[in-house]
Amino acid sequence: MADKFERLLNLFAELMETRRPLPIEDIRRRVGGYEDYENFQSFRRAFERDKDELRSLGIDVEVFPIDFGEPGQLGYRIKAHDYVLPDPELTPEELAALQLALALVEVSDEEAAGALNKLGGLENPELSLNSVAELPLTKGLDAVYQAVRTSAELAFTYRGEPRRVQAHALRFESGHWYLAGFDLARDAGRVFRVDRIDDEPEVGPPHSFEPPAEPSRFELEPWRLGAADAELVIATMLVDPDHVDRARLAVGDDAIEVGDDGSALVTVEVSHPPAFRSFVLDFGVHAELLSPPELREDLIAWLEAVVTS
Amino acid sequence: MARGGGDIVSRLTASDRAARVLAIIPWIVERGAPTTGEVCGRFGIAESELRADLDALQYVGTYPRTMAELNEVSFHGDQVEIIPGPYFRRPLNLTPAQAISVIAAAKAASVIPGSDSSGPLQRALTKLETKVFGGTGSMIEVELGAADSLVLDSLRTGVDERRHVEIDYYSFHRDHRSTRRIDPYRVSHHDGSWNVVAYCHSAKGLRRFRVDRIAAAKVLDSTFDRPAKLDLGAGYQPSPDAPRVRLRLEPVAAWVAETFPNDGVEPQDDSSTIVTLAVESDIWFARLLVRLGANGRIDSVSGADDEREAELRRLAADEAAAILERYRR
Repeated sequence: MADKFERLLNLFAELMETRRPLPIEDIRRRVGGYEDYENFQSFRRAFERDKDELRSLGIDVEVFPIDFGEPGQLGYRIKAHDYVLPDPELTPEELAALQLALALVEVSDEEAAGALNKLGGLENPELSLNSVAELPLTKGLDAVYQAVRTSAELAFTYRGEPRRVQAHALRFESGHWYLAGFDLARDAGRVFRVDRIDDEPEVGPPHSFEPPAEPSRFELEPWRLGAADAELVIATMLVDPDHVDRARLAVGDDAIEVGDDGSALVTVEVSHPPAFRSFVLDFGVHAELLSPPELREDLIAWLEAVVTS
Repeated sequence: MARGGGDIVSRLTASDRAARVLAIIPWIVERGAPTTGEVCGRFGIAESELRADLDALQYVGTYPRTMAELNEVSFHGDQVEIIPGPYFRRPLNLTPAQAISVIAAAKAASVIPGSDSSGPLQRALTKLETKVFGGTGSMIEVELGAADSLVLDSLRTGVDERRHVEIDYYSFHRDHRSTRRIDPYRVSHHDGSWNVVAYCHSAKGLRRFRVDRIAAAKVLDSTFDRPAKLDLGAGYQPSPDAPRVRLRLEPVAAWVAETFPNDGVEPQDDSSTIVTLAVESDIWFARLLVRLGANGRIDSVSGADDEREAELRRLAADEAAAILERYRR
């Protein structure tokens, strides 16, 4: 009896080669390994399991109604073109550099090994080193990537609300993956944190929109994550000398002006005031919100409430 | 099945083996007649597994599986040659998960401070982007979080050359800047920030420091011995001995559970959540309470009486009062 490994490869080759979708009886007759099943039902179950196995390799078996034979009959096929790796023509040096990158940066050991195998295996079998960085392969990231790559719409639930989004770009920052896209229901650009997507995102048909000409904007500072129609105010804060480095890392060089005494004036645009208040308070007594007056008053009232609570 | 090798390969699933052999065949075909040792090294596979997979391969092909459709595998001494059947000449395309893993790792590796931003890795990435991923180059960005590249360089030198490093560190927990001497063991990036795990001579123990809180780092001439056995762990883990506080969070304060390592989050019926935090420093916790205001309230403190809870609240009120002073000057 042919083992499952052989049968799976036979099925793969047969469905890749066929031009017309193959009816189930033909699959049973032609694919080496299925002749071992005397009973149609047990063959059928084996075939369904094998299709799942192929899906775990990233191969979808397409199903079509076929117009010959009995009415309502279905045929099966793999669109060979979609599943053959175009030759990237990597030189050994380039393949070695990729292997090194995948060793230095840990995303998923399993996916990295699978990808390297397809690209030509390990150029340096002896290479062994500790990774220096870790990036999460967030659940649903593969679907989001697929949508970005093919200019497809994504349907998902985000914080309990259904969304339909034209997927424009992906960015990893501060330990999280973010999707920038155009939210069709809200008719506005939006940024989503991929790990906050509640369900498995559904990828629509490819080339559903023109990719934007301008690079997508990812405004990830929490105080800039207000609603798209929120008013934008310029806020300033003073940071004591010993704490300037920390502020600089959070807001960037351009937002900082260091005075003669070493303290710094930080100027940022704020669309979500509560997050900015929280940012200022994180410096404790080492920073002071200067303007605008309404944000300063709000912060004072906030502190008074904590004192008296 | 009469053919050998069944014992070893049985641990892998049939689809794992299929994925691997579909990658191996094209490489062997292109290489001509590589040795089995070469194949095994390159694909991280044992000789017996390779033999079993290639043996089985000879019975694989399309209908009617005569010699014309089957894969032909022949061994000449330690060399192997394959004449593949249709659809075994090219590897399978990368799955989306494999593609994004490669892109993420390659982009991250090229923004690690001090890394070569041209060179073979960039060329590989450009070729993959144009030929395999369909021009996604500008659509995916990786930012590894702020770190002063001079500080990072010094720490890496310290790790590589086993030299003491003097750091100027701001401790969140103590709200205090200090100069410490450390033996750096490992520099790495995870959870969005660069960290160094080191033996700290001030604390007399293993500590993890965030690189973005190190204002300056100086490599000293003196060296240290690295302990033979080291458990550096991955991320920051709060001490099991630190007291736990159950904190009730309103929805707007949900970021607390995502930002700080914790022992668990329990959703409540009224849309609030309760997160269990380790409180290793009273100052840090008091400041968190000030930031949260009415959106975060202590539910209970583990193994402590109401007195302790009141004390933490008093500390928060004191911190708020101290900040207020500044606004009333």
